[in-house]
Amino acid sequence: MRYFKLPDLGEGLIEAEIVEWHVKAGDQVSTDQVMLAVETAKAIVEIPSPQMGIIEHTFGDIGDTVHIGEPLVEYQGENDSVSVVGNLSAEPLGQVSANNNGSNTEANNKSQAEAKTDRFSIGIKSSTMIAIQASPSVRGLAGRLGVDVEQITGTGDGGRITSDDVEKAARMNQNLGDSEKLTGVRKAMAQVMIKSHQQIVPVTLFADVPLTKVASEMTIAVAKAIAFACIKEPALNVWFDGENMSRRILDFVDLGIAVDTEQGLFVPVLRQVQDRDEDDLKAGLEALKHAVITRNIPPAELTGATIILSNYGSLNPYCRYGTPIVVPPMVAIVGIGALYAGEDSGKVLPISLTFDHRCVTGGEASRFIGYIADYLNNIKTE
Amino acid sequence: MMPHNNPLQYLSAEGEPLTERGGRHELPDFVNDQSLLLQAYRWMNLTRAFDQKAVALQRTGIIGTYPSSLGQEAISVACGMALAQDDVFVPYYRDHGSLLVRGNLMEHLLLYWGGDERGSAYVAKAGSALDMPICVPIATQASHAVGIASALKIQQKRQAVLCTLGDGASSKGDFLEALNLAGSWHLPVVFVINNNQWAISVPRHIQSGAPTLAQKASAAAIPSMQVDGNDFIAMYEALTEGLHRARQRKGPMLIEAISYRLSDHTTADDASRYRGQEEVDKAWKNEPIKRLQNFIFQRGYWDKKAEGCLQDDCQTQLEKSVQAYKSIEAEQPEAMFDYMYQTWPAALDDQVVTCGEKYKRNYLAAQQHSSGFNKGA
Amino acid sequence: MNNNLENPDCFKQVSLVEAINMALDYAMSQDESVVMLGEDIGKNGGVFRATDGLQEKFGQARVMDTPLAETSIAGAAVGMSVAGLKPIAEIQFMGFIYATLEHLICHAARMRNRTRGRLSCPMVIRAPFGGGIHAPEHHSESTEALFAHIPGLRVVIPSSPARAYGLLLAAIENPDPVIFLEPKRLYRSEVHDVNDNGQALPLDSCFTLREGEELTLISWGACIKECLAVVDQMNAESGNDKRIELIDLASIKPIDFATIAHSIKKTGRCVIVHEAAKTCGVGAEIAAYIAEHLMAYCKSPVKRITGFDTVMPYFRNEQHYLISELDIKAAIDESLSSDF
Repeated sequence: MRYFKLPDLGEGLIEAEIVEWHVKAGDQVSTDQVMLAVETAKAIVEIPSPQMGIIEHTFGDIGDTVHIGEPLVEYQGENDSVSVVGNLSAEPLGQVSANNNGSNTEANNKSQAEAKTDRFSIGIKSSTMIAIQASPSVRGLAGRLGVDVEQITGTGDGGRITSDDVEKAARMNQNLGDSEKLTGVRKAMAQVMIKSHQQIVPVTLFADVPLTKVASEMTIAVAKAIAFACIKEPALNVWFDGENMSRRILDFVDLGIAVDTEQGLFVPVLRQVQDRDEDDLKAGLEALKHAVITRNIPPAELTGATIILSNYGSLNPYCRYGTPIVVPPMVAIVGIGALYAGEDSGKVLPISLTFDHRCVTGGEASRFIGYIADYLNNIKTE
Repeated sequence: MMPHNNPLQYLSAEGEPLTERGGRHELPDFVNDQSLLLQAYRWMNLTRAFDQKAVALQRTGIIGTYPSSLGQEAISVACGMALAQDDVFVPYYRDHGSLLVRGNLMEHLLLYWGGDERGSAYVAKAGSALDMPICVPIATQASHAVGIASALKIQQKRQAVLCTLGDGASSKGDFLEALNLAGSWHLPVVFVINNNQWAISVPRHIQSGAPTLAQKASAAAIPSMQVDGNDFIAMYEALTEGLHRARQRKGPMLIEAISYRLSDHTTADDASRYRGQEEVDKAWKNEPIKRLQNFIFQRGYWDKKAEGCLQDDCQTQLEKSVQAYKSIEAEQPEAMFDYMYQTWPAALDDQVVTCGEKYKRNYLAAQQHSSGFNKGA
Repeated sequence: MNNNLENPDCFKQVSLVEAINMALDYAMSQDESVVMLGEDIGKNGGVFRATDGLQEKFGQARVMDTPLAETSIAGAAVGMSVAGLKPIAEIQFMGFIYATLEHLICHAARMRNRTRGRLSCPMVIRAPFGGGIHAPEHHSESTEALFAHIPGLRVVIPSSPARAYGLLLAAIENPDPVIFLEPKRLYRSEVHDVNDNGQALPLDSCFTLREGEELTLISWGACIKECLAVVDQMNAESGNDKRIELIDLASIKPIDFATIAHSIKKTGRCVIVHEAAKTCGVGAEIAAYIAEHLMAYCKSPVKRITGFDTVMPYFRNEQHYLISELDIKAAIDESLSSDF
């Protein structure tokens, strides 16, 4: 044995503090000769040498804490043995992190030195996600017929899926082909929209804003207008916690921009819109769009928006109005439609603003649209 | 017979026969049997060496928790020697000396304390096939001893049962009930309380308000006596008499052997937390090996040269046993199922398969782990 | 946020066994009727040091070293509790608790019922249990199901310092007998911040340690350590911190089935982990409940990862019996990949 490692000296001890060394490097020791004294949580214990030999090195000084399984003494000219001395392995078998080259042990040791946090909650954690109900036999039938039970609406008691439901779905599949399971961005969109639908109390205001001049980059112009409106009417630039009924009014505008792609809807975030000029914002938006289209967008660039802009008007010249969906914890989203010619041939910008009425009043929302209009028409306001 | 408060004692702490200083007792005849006394002395020394070795093995992670019998070797060895081969020994867990005398191999005792069931699997060479395994649940063995004695009586066998226990165990209902039954059924059983004064941290006076533990036999109408447990001659005399009576169908007996636990309760204990060193130092003056050594020197049975040989011999035997112990591979994982039932329940089939899969899963991971660790080290 | 003016925040970094000591200390100082009895609990502070320093602080009359007799300890606790004390009895190891059964089953568990509420037994029996510490024979078993089977008893098992503190205080406050089993493998394995403010946790509740949506992992006692490691690793690896839900059962009797039902309805998959032998273990009760009430929510069969129906092997081979992280992970993987 080359290394003698600290064994479990009591029952379930994890470490010991060195009290005294009776030997030093270079000493010849005999079997059972006391080498050191350590103090555990239970007792002061003298540790003898398990073998004869010359000590090459001792590990740890008086006052140091040694963990079970760590070396105490190295003997000269011995081969290392794979196992810990004797029959008792100090480390448990079968750890999931076992192939981390021993970093596992370091992590354990560290954890013993520092207090760990202990996260737990009492009993039920509220969650709205409830799985569908289908008996094992129905699930078995569905498997055999190639039907995904998650795609079926049950007609049995409490929405339980029956074998009839499965057979009906199977016939549908046969006639119409398999349904397509949502994945990736489209699935994420579905989840976000469901969550929004369950939580938000939405109200949408529609406005037709006549423009005295038309900006060349409407998205960027409206982005700046929103930032201006957010400063003038901060109630819409908010993160709202509906569970605790608390809101956080934000003094920066990180604007989510809806970007349509074949895979689905992305909403990359333009940061600090209130402080940036239009050229800078334009370059930033182009970079984000490129990253989305080439699928190189880092996840961090898709989170943390304080309000969203959706320019669906740019997709189709006939689209004017919408009821865009607020994504919590945000409380507002601005949609702009295609410019159209007004009565006196002036250009009109249709704006649709959805806000969460749990947290925002109609007055605040109306004023917000007013500030957008003012900004776009260069009207100075107090 | 009421127990007396003066324990039976033949030798002073210095090994002087008390008779020659006006003591009460004539030395028993067996003190003239040189080979018997030397045998006792050798076993007591081997027991002490075994204890020391076992503690060192625990301190180096080679066996688990171990209860040393330091200072109580006379009781343990006398029990072993007074037993006839076909008497049945029902031990507790601090009887290493008796177990060695019964012919148990030291490597097998180490197996038990090293956490391997096979430590209890062997028939002792000089013992009975009915000798019971080490008993950890306190005092429960007393009832089993009564049952065995009852069986021997029903089967009309002229054998005795010897049951050992600690002073703590004398507080348990199991022991008092066993005494009661042994007295009621007039059974061939001898109980020996190793009163080493400490049940872990609890001193003798907290165990019982009775001045002696021996007197607990009185209510069961069982004869009992206190014996100086550090005096091998007294212990052997009392045990021989008790076992003889039992074999002669003269009923049970209780011996309270008074000694002192010079060690911690086990290697998991730290006695300095609850008792003073002064008390321990004082007790060392009464320890049994020096006492017998002085006596056999006086008698001319022993000399310094023989003493040196004995110590070397103990160490040689121990080294051999430790090597033998270390060379015994652990059992296969599935061995945990092997002795659950004589007839195999089909319901356990799945679990055996699971056990094998589990071993493969975790053992392979452990191999990966250790090679990875060594690379890093 | 602590609104209790009488009990200001007092965070201490403690191990599970120190948290037990802290709770005992708190209860003893708050309520004169709380007394402790057991073997070696006084000057020695208990063989695991759970009662360290308490005899010195509260005196021999309230912290009693008993003779070595578990039957008497339990029987005396019954009498003391009937007579207005709140005894906390320590049984040194669960392997030695069986001598107490007659008093616990025939008396403590039914005194209230027998006397139609005239008398009751507000007592706590504490005992360390479970394997994995290289202890001798009879020192490693997990037989919580024995007690869970007895009507009238409560069985509580903490699995962290904070839960040990809060649950032990709750057990002491509770007007009925509580079997409080301490996973001794966790006694010193980790140190956490625990608020020594005297706040009890609820006794009839599970604790959700990690929220998840794909599978419910239920365990208690020392196995929680391996479960946490597996869940944290699997959730991190999948990039979904809401993948596996981990529930610490904590209250073995009565069981908080509402929390379990809520979780199964969400995830549709369940793996139960316990160290005790499989047959008639507490896992069987949970699986039966799921079969009775939640079958239609299940996407795959309930799986149990448990000890074998064998005598706990002595410690040289106990690792072949104890449940490893890999065993738990394999069961979770199997449950996630199998459908009815």
